[in-house]
Amino acid sequence: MNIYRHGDVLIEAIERPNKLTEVFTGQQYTVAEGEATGHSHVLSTRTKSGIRVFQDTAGNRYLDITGQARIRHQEHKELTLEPGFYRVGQEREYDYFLQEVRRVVD
Amino acid sequence: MEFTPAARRTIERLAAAARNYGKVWDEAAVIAAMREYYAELKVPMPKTVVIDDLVIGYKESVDLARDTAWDTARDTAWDTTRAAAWGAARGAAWDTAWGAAWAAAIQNAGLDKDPKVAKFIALEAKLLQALEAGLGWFFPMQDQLLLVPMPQLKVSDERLHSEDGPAVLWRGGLSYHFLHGVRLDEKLWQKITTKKLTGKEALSLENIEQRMVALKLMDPEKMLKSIGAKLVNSSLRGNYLYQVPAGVFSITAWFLKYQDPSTGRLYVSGIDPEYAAEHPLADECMAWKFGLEPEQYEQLRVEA
Repeated sequence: MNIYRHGDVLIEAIERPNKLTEVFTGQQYTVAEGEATGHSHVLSTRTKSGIRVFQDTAGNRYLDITGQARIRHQEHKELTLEPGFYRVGQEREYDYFLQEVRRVVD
Repeated sequence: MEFTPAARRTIERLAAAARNYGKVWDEAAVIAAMREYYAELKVPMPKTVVIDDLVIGYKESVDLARDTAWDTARDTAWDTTRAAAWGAARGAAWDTAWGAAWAAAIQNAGLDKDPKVAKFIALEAKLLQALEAGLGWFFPMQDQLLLVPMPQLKVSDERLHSEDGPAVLWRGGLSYHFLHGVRLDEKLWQKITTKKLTGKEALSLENIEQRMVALKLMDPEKMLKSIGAKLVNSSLRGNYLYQVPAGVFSITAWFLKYQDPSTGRLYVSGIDPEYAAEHPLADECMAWKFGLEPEQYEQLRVEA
């Protein structure tokens, strides 16, 4: 089972779901950016068009990585991702003031 | 790695300039260095205008035409050198996106005998002089050369950080407040640094990094105690689940304290009350935070 946690980002290997829309193709993709720190989780490969990003109707993102990829961040250790199809997850929390679940904002 | 004396000197000058960021502004020396820089490029230098901060610099530059002669001359010098020295110099300066560091690496690799490379090194030497005199940025426009002095920076542990004033202060007074690399507006920064922020207020901060620095300065344990939090469960993976009785919030609240595996920073984050009541285990609540089943979190080993 391939699940990677990189700070507040989770990347989980899954079977490719149906009905996805391609939103990005390239060699480098910013998975998440921090507002207060200006830092970002950046995925890159050596293969041109080695990263394809898809979205489902709910806005969930998926990565199709054809070569070995690295995910980097200014403060987190670098991780190597094997080729595969992944779901991008983002850390969430419960806001007791708004009484709702929301994505962690950093 | 062995450095030649010239390369070592350049690296030492860069380090000294970094230590003096914002402390030096010698306008005459900056202009003189830039004049020599333009002379090396064989491009006439337009009149110089000193701009207070980078925000204004960018704004001004949008309304002005770029100096295409400068661009061409500079690009030619840079590209030729990069093509010649890339392979050999890359190891020494890969992580230093700075022309002078490149020059040091090129000198070190013994490539500075090539006249084109020597020209590049001469150019970078002028920029290093300007940097030493306090130049932060410059915008080479057609009719004006905009010069922006380096702001005063307060850095601790390689992060912007100041508990007694702004961590970034530009010449014109524009300032930014940071704690441990996290930007905060002045009001919040003041509340945190004067210890006037309550535990409840800290937990209400929407941005988790701002919440983290507030808790860091308050001490997370003390803050949790101040709102009557009781430790319910802890795990070997460093996750701690706390319950806060109704009263502080309108319902019984559950918070997870956990450590980032890479940075070691401590975070406190709310857990869905229904889920936490049914799964009052720290690791299961951590699994919920990432949308994982508890057994998936158990198998999650690659964390950074």
